[in-house]
Amino acid sequence: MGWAEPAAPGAELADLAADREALRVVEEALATLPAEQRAVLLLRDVEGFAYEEIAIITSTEIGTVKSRIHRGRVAVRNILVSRGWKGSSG
Amino acid sequence: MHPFGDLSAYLDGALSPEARTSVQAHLDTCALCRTRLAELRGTARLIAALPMPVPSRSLVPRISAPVWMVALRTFSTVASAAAILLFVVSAAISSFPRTQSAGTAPAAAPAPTAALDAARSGATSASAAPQSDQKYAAPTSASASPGAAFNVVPSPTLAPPELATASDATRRLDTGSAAPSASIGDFAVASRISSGTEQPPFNPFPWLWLVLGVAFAAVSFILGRRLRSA
Repeated sequence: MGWAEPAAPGAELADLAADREALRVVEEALATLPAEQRAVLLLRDVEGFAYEEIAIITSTEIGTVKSRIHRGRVAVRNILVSRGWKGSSG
Repeated sequence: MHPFGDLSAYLDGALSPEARTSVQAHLDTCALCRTRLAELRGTARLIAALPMPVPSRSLVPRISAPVWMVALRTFSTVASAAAILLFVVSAAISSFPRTQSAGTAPAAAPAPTAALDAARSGATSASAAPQSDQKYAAPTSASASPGAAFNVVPSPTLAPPELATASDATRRLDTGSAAPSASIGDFAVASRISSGTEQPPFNPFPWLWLVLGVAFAAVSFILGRRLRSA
């Protein structure tokens, strides 16, 4: 009765460490965003609001919500990539 | 032409059906856009996985607080303070006149007293004039001039006591004019004070300012809560 071995030994631990590091970078990246981009990203990805709802919450046009979410995500993605993030692993 | 700008909305299922099929068709043929889409998906997942049990208030900006609300709150705070200050000042002023009228009334009294004195002296001179007239008239009444007789008909009977009382009064007025005028002046002061004390209790202005101050404070308080919750 030994411990079940992972498919690739240490791979999950490495992923976990990479995820924690990525989360730290994401937090830093969010802090550098303009407030309105950060707000819509949190409303979308953390709170799970639809674009229409975010438009109402932030009293803006839905087109503005769309572009702010996209620019914010791209900015966070760019910072992650600049720190060696391989992307799409999550 | 890569539809980069639509990738996030595509990821979130926020595109119109036509735009969605168009992006879908492009993704089928474009490896770069598939990579970008995968990166955006990974970024969104990382953001969603952020350890944020309680989203920090400082991270969420005041998105729904309009500028006019902040300005109105500042204004109502200042207005409330100003109105309450005005209330205190006007209440102090309106409570003073009782002592102030007691102080100003004697100062104002000499004027009416002087007027009274002037009237009195006018009266004495007027009363003195008939006396002299009567002195002259008495002989003419004796001479039975109709006009003079008409004027001085009662004088033969009334003249001696009237002259005495009149001259007495004049002398009394001349010598002791201070006493009666002072008493009349006192009366004037008393009436002035009574009229002065009647007015302030019905002065609504201090309370108006207080009501305004409280109203502005309430507005400021409500707006402050609204802003804090925003």
